[in-house]
Amino acid sequence: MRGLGPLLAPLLLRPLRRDRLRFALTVSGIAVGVATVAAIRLANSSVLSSFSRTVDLVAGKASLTVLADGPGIPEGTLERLAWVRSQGVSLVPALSVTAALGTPDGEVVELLGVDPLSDGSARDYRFASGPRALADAFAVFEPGAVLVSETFAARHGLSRGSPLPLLAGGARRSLHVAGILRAEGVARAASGSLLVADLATVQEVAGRAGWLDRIDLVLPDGAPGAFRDRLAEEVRASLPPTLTVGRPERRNETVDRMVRSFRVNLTALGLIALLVGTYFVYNTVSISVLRRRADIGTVRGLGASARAVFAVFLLEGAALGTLGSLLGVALGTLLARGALAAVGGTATDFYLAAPPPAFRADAGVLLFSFVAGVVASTLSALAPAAEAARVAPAATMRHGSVEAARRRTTRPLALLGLVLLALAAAATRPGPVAGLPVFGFASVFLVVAGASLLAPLAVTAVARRADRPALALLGVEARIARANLTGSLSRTSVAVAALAMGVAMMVAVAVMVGSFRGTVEQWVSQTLKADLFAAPESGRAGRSLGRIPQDALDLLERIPGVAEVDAFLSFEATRDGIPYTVGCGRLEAIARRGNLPMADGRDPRAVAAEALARGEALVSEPFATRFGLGRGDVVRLPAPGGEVPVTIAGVYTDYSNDRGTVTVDRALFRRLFGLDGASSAAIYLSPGVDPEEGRRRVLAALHGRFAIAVRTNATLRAAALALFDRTFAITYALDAIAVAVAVLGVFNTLVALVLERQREIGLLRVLGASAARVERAVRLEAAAIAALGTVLGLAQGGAMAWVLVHVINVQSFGWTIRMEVPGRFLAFSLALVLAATLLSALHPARLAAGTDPAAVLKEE
Amino acid sequence: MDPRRPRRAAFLAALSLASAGTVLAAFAARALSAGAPGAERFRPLDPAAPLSFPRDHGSHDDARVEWWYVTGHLEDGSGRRLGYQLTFFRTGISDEPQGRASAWAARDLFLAHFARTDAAEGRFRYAERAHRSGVGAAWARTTHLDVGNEDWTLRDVGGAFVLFARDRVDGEEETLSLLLRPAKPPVLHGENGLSRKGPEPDAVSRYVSFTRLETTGFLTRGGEARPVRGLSWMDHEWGSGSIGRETAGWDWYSVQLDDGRDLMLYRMRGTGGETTRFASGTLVEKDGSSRGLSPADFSVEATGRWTSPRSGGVYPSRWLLRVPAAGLALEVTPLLADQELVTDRSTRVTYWEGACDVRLAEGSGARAGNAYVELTGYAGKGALGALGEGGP
Repeated sequence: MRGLGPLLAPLLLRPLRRDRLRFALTVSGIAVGVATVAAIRLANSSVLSSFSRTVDLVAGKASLTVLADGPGIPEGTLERLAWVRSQGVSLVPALSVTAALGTPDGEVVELLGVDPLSDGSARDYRFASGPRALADAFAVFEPGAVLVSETFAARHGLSRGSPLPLLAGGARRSLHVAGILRAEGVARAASGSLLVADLATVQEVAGRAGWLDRIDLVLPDGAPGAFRDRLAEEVRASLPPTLTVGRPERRNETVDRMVRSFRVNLTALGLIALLVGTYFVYNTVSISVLRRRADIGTVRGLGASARAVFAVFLLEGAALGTLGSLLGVALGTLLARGALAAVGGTATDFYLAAPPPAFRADAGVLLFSFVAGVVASTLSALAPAAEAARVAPAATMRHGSVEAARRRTTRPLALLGLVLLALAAAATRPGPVAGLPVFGFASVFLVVAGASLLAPLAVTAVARRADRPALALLGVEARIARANLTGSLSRTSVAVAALAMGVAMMVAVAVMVGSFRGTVEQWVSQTLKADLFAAPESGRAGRSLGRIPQDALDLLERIPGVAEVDAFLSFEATRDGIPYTVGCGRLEAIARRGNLPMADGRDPRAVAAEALARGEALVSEPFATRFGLGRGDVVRLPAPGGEVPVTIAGVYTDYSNDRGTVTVDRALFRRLFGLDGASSAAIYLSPGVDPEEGRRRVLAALHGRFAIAVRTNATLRAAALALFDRTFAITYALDAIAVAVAVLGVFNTLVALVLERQREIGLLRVLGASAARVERAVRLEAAAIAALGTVLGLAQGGAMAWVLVHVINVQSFGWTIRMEVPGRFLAFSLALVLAATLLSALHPARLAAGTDPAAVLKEE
Repeated sequence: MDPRRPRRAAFLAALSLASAGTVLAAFAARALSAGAPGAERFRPLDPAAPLSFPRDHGSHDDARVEWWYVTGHLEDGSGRRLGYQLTFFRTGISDEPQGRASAWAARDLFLAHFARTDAAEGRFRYAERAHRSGVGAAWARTTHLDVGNEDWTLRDVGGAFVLFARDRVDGEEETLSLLLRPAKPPVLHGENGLSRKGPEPDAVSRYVSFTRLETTGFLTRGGEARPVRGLSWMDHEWGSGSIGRETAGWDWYSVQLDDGRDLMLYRMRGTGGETTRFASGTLVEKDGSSRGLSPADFSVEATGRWTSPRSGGVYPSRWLLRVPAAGLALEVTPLLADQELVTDRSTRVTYWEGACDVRLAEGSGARAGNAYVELTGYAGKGALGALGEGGP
């Protein structure tokens, strides 16, 4: 017999028909792992590609773009650059802001302010109705006039002249549609949710008079690259260092950095889910090999080569992987679509306030997830396939001898496991690589691998020690169960390891999230001391957009019952393309209240007073970690006129922003950046004023002029924690998947073991064991696997949690988290796992009890 | 319509009509109707207010439209002839007396055209600019003549004018920098520069010209500067009034005679192409004194035609001008047939504005001077040709 063809039917296809459930479970195990990885990456790549498409469409024909490191480009910069016009270069200014529609659904839109007279040279505008060209659209010069895309107009039922309420700059603005753009060129940006308006309108609506955020340079047709490079050099030389010039695409890199650590962390979790899935494949193929031992012997006897047998079982793994991965990719696509439909998921909530991105099926991501699933499945089939290849033609070799061989490798495996664990410990030492906790993740995987290799030793050691007490306590069934545990070590240890991994992941994530939540909760109670908090209304956006105007702040201070208003104002800055935040608050208020906990435990009152007196800055812990700066170091702030060096007076804890924040006193901030208003404001009420009453008064005072959301301390706290929980919802979901896959693994293993041992069970029955006893033996075995897996998982999970909290979290976000074990949650979850595992033993146990001794003996 | 209405007021009013489709006129209409009395920015001209120079060479913020229009004939040392045209338009589009928060809030649009006619090379080039007021790229000062659009400027420096304009042609920089010295005082067309447009009290505009500016300077091409000299002509007009819509276009002629006299003539054309009763002129003597010409005082006869390959417009291309009372019979011939401007990036008007030769039509046929001729409304459809395109 040559080739694989003749082997497929007896070894794979026929058994497949017999064991549909198990194959289905295996395939779905792989599918879930692949789907998780695919969904995370697809959602992410859709967000990024939507953003970069917007960047490209908005850049239009520009070859170079001037961007600001600081709060924006002072519009006088245009005059400073006027000289480039003599080289035939067009200067095209723009200012874009993110805002929310003032309609009940509060859709997030991008408002692009342009100079209609010059913009045509950079961007394409085609009108669906009305003027022929942007330069013709004099209606755009009218205050409040906007152009919308056809798709947007259709979605919201707009036509020329329609009113369009917009929440921007802390007020409700009445805009109107001055023209409809065809869905071409720039009108396709931001998935069509891009409104185009005159610069004046956008500056006024956003409260950003005097500022631009980009100046595009359009070169003469056919200008060579050398011209562009020379021009870039000359432009750079004529601008302050806080304004940068380069290819328009570089904006993408900054955004990529914003979402990168988030994406990498989720992908790592997804890969663990995939890893659990591949255990399934190992299990299934192993069982195939076991159950078809006789068939293998027969085909070998008929002349099939060992290599062909090996190939067939490898093929089984690959086939399972392919099927599972295909399903997984499809499922992942659905999941990603769902996640994006829910306003872009967590990444957009936190990192990119932007219109909901369109789903994009990134072929690279689909391929990556698919290949990862297939390769992992095939690799996990290697060992059982090799085992199959060793089956002698006579087919008399017993499973027991394989297991004997496996037992001999228990100690070397455990030793290797210990080495891996030692390596895992060592991997917690190095710092991040390119801002990513690469070694931290390596450490987690080493913990997983090391603990898995220890599983066989753990099973045998526990089984040996538990033999006598178990016999005394639970009777002879315990001994049978114990014998089965060690007798089928290759199966049981894998089940234990898989369960341990699922439990470990759950424990690690629970401890990490629990610790994080506890820390944040405490931090929130330390920092959120005011009675009321005000922020611009922002529709459906996950974070507040724009600023509270200065007049609104002045108004707030005059409301009877308001004792003090502490306004916080910030802008997004970049340093070498790395985003961070520059903000301000009243240091005098912090010096009085001390509501800014310092990372080193110093008294915030003293630190703030010192910073105020010396004109120094306070930086948040993520900033300090990310840029490697601390107390006494100098940070250079990107003021419009050039960089301003400011000394760091202290580092404070901050869990609201992982990009890092530099905070200076409001007066200094105003002097450096010329900005006023507030991103948010804390309002302290006079003693005796009820917060709800105070809120009513504030809202009444603001009503009609400003669109500002005012929340009481209690609701803001609740909202902060709700946002936190929403952010981590996805990790719990992954967790549940991992545990489910592991429990399915136990089920799978037990079924396999029962089928495999039908002969022994038959003998037991013949020798007088009742069906109930046999059933109990299987249940005990399941209990043992569950207990072992849970204990091992707890230890493993504890180690992983430590790495997550103290290495991965610190390196990717820069947060200090106090480790805290969420005991009740863990106890409940572990009980659930145990119960699920025991429940999963019901069917195999009944299967064992139902073994017909006579039939088995006849076969013998 | 007043027969003496100045020509380029018509141009500008037409410009605003051109934009009628594109809302500029809506702005204008609002400018005239919105707000409480006295709160608007644009006001009717006060006929009693005397003109005061050099202040009135500068911009008039309360006038809705205003332009400065320089044309000239230059020669370099080798006798090569160059015609040039540099025009600055200001169109007020917001009647809000106070500014808005943003400097970009468009109060005025500044549009500009710059054209050169090189007879020897047979080359006609033009460029256009469009900017708003307030952000530095274009301006017009109200204290004296100082208008600019990017690097095109025209300024009063102590009674003379400095003109600078730069353009790129095929990657090569071409710069005109000129000093214009008035050889005659400013001419006030109509009644003391005040041109009544109709029976309504606010339907007036001001029209002032320097008909003879002695010009010296340099034309620089690709880094090589050539000294040039010659004569230029500058028109300045402003007002807030409106124009009748029966006008299809107009022909305008400015002639600088070698004998020291200057002549301005124009005629409005109706939708049927006929000369309407709105035609007028001014003859300026060598000593700077001037007198108005009524339609009965002159005649214009087109003797040639030219078809534009770009716009398809069919333009008259050669003329006989007669002013019998002044003893003038002149043959006006374009230096180049094609001096058409298609201004899609600024005014969105297609017109012909060209340097011409002037010879005696009778007798010797000797050279008698130079002229600039402007022809509008030939290249389009509808009442205002290309100007009337678009629309709500």
